[in-house]
Amino acid sequence: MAGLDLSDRRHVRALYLDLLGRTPTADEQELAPSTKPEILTRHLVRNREFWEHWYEDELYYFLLIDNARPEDEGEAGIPVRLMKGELGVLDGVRMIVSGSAFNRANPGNDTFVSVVLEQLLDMDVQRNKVVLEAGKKMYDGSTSNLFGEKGRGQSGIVRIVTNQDGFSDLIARRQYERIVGLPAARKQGEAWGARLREEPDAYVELVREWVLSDAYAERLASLRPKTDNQFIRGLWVDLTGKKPDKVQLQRLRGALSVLADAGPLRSVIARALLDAESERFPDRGDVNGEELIKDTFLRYLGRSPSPEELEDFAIIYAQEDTEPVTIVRSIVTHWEYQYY
Amino acid sequence: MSSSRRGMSRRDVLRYGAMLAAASAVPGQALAGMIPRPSPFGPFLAGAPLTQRVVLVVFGGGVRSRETIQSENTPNLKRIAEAGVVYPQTRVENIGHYGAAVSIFTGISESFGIRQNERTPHPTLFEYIRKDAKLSASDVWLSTSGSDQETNYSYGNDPRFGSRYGANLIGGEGIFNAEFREVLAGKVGIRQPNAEQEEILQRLRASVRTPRPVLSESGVGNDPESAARIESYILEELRGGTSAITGLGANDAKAIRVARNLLTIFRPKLLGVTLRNPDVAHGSFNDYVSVIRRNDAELGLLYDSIQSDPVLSGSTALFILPEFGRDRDLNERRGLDHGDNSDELHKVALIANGPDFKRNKIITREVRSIDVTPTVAKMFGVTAGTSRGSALPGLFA
Repeated sequence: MAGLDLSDRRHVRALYLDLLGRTPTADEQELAPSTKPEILTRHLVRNREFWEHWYEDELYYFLLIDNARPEDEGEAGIPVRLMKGELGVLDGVRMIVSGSAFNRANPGNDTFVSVVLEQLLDMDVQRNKVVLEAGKKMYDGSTSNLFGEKGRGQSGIVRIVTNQDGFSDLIARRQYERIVGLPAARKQGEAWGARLREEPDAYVELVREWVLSDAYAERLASLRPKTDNQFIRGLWVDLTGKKPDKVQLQRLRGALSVLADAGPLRSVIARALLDAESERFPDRGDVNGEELIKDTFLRYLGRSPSPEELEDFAIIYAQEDTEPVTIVRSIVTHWEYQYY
Repeated sequence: MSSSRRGMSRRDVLRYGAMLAAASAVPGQALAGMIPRPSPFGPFLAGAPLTQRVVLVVFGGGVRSRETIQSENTPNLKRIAEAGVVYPQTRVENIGHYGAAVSIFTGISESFGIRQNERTPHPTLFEYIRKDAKLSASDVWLSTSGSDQETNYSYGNDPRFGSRYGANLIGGEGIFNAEFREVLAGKVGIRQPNAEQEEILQRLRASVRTPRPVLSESGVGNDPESAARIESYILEELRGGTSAITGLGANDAKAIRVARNLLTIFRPKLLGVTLRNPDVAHGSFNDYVSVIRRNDAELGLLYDSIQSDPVLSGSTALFILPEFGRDRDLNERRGLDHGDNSDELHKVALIANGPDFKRNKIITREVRSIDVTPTVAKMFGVTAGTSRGSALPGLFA
């Protein structure tokens, strides 16, 4: 298996979606083949956008979104400090769960302790009631014993739990699954977790190893569904060249979250954005049909049309009433566009 | 054109595509004019000869009988009740909104707390019906009042069932609101699609050859044709008046309005509706009553639209019940909480109205809210195997 291939547009799209949560701009796509995977990945993981994407996904994991979202701290915030190397990823998560937003979202001893144990250690609290009760006593202000350590209050709970090896192991496994799209074995997670504990900035090197691995390249041979975040941000970049602002992202993601099958609404969003940007698309007389079809497949799906697809599209386009924007609309509202 | 496509090349099929496109996928038609997909399952439900579809309304948010059928606040609920069967002693166990509503859908008294956000480990009514009656996603819908938590009603975590048998769920407030419309359409507005380009669009989409991934853990399984119809529906709804519904109780009003439109367009076999806004009662008794009145008015419109529809009338059963009641006495804010363990909290009125049911009947024997799921499942000829409820007594004519 050859590994990541930057001359393959699908590989480049996947890399950007996995690391930055969006598709590459037209320029980024064109420049990619002229560099090497080792160099491009190093550039991407040192990017502020990489950490902002990480942070958004972590907030989503802890359901700290919309009205429950922590206040934006700008240059003093977690993503910037991670980018500058002032924090490692373990400390970044500690800060999230120690913050007032997490506290407000998980009020009460039972809720707070259950969420901490479940989401930081992957513990089934119903089967570990002794641990749960110890944590609840600690939450209520008593000095209590948790995992062999004494502590008191919410800060004590967070400190003790995040000192467990299981905390860093779980973060490593979660991040691997998030980026590579494959489950990680426990033993792998333990090895990566150990590295995260030993070297605070090991995370970016781990991510590079993951995306440069044969396993990642193999995974790219099959389709993976886009998250709502990836879909929205990718759609905006694909159709406008820009990223959506925070209000747009929040409202669109909120709407997608209230459907069991978000696919049809994603198509509606794609239509609406295309309608708003329709003046950017050429008129029928200004473009070669076959070139338009090939470019559309390459641009939005990262692949060329098959001979059969090209023939079918060309036949339909040849009918005088087919507008070029309809070709684009058919691809960005197709289910394949919701995968990568 | 020949009635048979045999012998036509693919080029010919594409050239004549306008005549072959599925009419139901063409958007831009008025909601009432959209052509329903014919049901592949025949006209009858196994356990109820006249009933072809069931609507289950969780008149939620915590509602006492004292403010509904025992009052003048709900004239529409009353006339629905008079034409059906009422169980005024319907017992509920869980008094958290989420857990109590899930209990109705699973037929099991669930042990969720009020803020839990996990799916139930048990199958829901939607999954039983979809799997064992072999219904598609577009035959089973759920319209909710809109919190993220409510999306979990669609299906549970039982590995024998799961998302591929879940209800198509739509949270009206989350989509049909002014803020989302503004983000989506801005100054341009939601455009009316050009019918000709839409037909071409469907043909182009159908020409993309990529094999669809097998559904694993996600997706309720809408096929491309159903997804296209839902897309058209959402566009029409966004252009319509649902997004303009505002005021006290707006979320619930939207959920019922969306349900009415879903019934008209998709003619689902099973439609759930969950409401939440009466929970304003914690802070204001007057607001609570106002919301109840508004919900009753919307339910009246829903009922009337069923009765006036030649397809729905005489073939649609309706079940309406709250997930629990409320405390007997007002709290210090002159509101009503839900935690005193009184009968006003734990006993609610269940209304069942349908072509196979008795009329103008009150059954005073105590039943349970968890009896609804096994009853509806039985009407579909399936067994809600994990449910702990029983079929409602004295229901059928």
